[in-house]
Amino acid sequence: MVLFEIWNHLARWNAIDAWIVATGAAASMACALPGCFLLLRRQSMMGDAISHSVLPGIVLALLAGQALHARGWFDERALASSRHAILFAGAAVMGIVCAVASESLRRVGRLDAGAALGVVFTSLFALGLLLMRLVADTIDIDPDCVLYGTLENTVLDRSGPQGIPAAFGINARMLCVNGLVLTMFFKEFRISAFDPALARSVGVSASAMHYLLMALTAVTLVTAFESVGSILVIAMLIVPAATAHLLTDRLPRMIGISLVVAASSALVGHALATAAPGVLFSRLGHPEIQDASTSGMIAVASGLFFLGAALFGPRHGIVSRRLARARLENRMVREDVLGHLFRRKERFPDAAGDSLASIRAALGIRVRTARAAMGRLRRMRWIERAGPDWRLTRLGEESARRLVRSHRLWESYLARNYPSRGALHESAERVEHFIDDDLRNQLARELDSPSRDPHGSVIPSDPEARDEGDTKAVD
Amino acid sequence: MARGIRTPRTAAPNAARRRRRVMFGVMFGVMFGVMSALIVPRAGVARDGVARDGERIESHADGPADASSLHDPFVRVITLSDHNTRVVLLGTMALGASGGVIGVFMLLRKQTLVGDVVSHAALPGVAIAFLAMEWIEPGTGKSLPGLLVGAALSGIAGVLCVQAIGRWTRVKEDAALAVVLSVFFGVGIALFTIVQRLPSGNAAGLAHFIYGKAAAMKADDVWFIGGAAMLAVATCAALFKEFRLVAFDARFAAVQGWPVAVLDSVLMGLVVLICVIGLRSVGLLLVVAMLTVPAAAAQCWSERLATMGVIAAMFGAFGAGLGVAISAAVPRVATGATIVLCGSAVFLASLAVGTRHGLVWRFARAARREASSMPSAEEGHPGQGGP
Repeated sequence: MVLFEIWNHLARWNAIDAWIVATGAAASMACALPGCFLLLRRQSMMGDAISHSVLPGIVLALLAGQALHARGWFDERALASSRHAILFAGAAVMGIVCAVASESLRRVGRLDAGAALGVVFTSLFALGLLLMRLVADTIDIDPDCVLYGTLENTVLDRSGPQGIPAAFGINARMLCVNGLVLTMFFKEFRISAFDPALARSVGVSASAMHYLLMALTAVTLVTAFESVGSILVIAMLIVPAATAHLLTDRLPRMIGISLVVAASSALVGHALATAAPGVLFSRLGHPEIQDASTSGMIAVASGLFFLGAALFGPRHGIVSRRLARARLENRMVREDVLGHLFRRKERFPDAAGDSLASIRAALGIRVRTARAAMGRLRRMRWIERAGPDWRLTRLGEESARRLVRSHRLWESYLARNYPSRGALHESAERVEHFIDDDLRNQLARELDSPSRDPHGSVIPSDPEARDEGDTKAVD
Repeated sequence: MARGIRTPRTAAPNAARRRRRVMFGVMFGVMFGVMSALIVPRAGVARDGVARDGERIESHADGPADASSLHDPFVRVITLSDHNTRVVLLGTMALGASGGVIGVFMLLRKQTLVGDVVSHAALPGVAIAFLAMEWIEPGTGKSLPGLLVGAALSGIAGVLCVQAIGRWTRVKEDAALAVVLSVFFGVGIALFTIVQRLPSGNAAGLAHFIYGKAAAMKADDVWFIGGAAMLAVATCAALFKEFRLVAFDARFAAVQGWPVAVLDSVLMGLVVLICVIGLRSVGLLLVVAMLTVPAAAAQCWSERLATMGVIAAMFGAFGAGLGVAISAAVPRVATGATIVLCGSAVFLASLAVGTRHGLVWRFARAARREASSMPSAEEGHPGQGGP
């Protein structure tokens, strides 16, 4: 029902929606490229600061353009066609000013880096707001647009060739430029992101790369501004990069993933914007609400991707890590059960097996844990029922033999090499779960294949090795 | 657990220190009292004509140039002859002072930018509170306390998200700040467009939370802001020693058995309080400046925490007052931005002439050293002129 409703909303997409997604994806991907390096340099908030600080740069640059126009240096068409160049110049200058000012405040004013950024970007942003309000009617800039961006409206300006929206064209070009610059200086960016000191020592100017990155970020942010607004670009800049950082450790792969996340969050964001409010609010009695801001929803979608990666990322995800630990714990319990049954059979060869209650008492585990472990072992055909009790199958006995062999070999090893050490059993209880075939064979060789452990128990022979031994005996 | 090995609380009962702590609270109280004294009599007089007063406030919101006024707006602001200007002035000064005090602790704790996250993360709370109140009882959506409670709750949620990301994922703190800030703001913007489409919800009132509109402040708001500011400063004064310990060396504090997590939460709570009361007057985009700029300026003057707190409170109040005065006198100037720029001017001045790290003194000292060392350098190496 709900799915059908969502599908209904999405089925109404037309060319405009396609261009909205394409423009959002281009802007988002263009931002993600410098974002990866900002994230690795731990300067994410610098991106935030730059996105605030470029505001006065934009206003001043536009004012300068107007002044030149008034002097007669630019005619109307030249002004319109160089609008973006003017904006970029203002933004790049302000981006570098922000970076330089916060850096020098940190050094000269002995301020904490965060506080220095805070002082610089709030001041510049306030200046920008003030200027914008003062000169709003002389220049072509909309304060609300700068803050929130209206992706839905910018794509309506289809003045590009073949009706391509101008916003898409400029964002796609920015993406290409970013890709080109980062490919050209990939080695330099990488080395100065991970190890500025090493970069300097091999002759790469880390500070030059720093300011290049800042200028690139500022220009990229301004390009994306008109589409998504000055604060939501931070989502495009940092969130895809942070998501990718959760998923991989390799820089090229991180950049690739961040591009994918950026593009998909544009798609999912627009889907959310067109479908979610209608579905939700028609149930709350407001059927007139059908859509929400796409740029806002792109940020929400990228946030969802981040959340997903934080929870379910294969290596670093919170849930994945918990699951891996639970899996390890379960395996250890199962092995403990096997070991318990094996030792019991050693001691009482005539007994059929052992009851669940007695196994639980011996291992000190809870009912649910024990049930789960027994069920799994049974499905693996390592244990079977013998009346009310459980006993090892032939398969199970082989695994148990290996486990107990590891345990007793480890005890012997400790006893020989660390004679004064006590608590042999406790150590072996922990280590037995991590001894694989190779290590076990190596231990046996090193100890000249002992037959008894320090407590006097027989060390069970290796199932495979015994077969080998048998054939040798025949020979 | 470590109560036994804690250094005794009463060690060195330094009377001077305690007196300074009390002074700290008293000074703020006196300041607020004096300012209130400026407004209360007129407010009392105006009480018989509440409607008239409200009308004047509304007209001020559009621009200070009252048509009936014969005076120059600038003179009226300087002489505080406008009731509304006094109200706004008092409210923002209380905000500036308390922001300065809290900001000092945040500065030393190196968590200044958390304030930025709190204020941006408050936006979805405002929108959700509006939607919820409209849903429960149509027409009540713009009640200020409800909106502020929503803002506070989602600001707290933002801080918790930052802490959760920092604790459970490999993403570093700066990126966590940026992620939470931008995603919460995105949620807020998406909800705002929805609010705007509600028949009852022209979001004009809500947009003030973004840019701030100090001029729309009413006497009730000022009492509310003043009370919250007093609460914040009083908490700082009461927990001064604990906050100081945590600010300078959190690990040592933890080793000594102080509940660092609780103290941090209290400090974060105060930050949320300041941000929330600042939303209406300065706007969420710039409220972090109330926490950052005065504290940074105070650092140029002193290294003593208590002194820094007092100086930051004074700078905060001064910057806010100056900003309100300018924006009231000059048409088409946004109050929030002006307040921040006045604060920045104070900061730049402090950076230049501050007694602690002031650039002027540093240059003068360097020049003097050079001047005094020049001849000695020549004397010191007499043999250098040799072949």
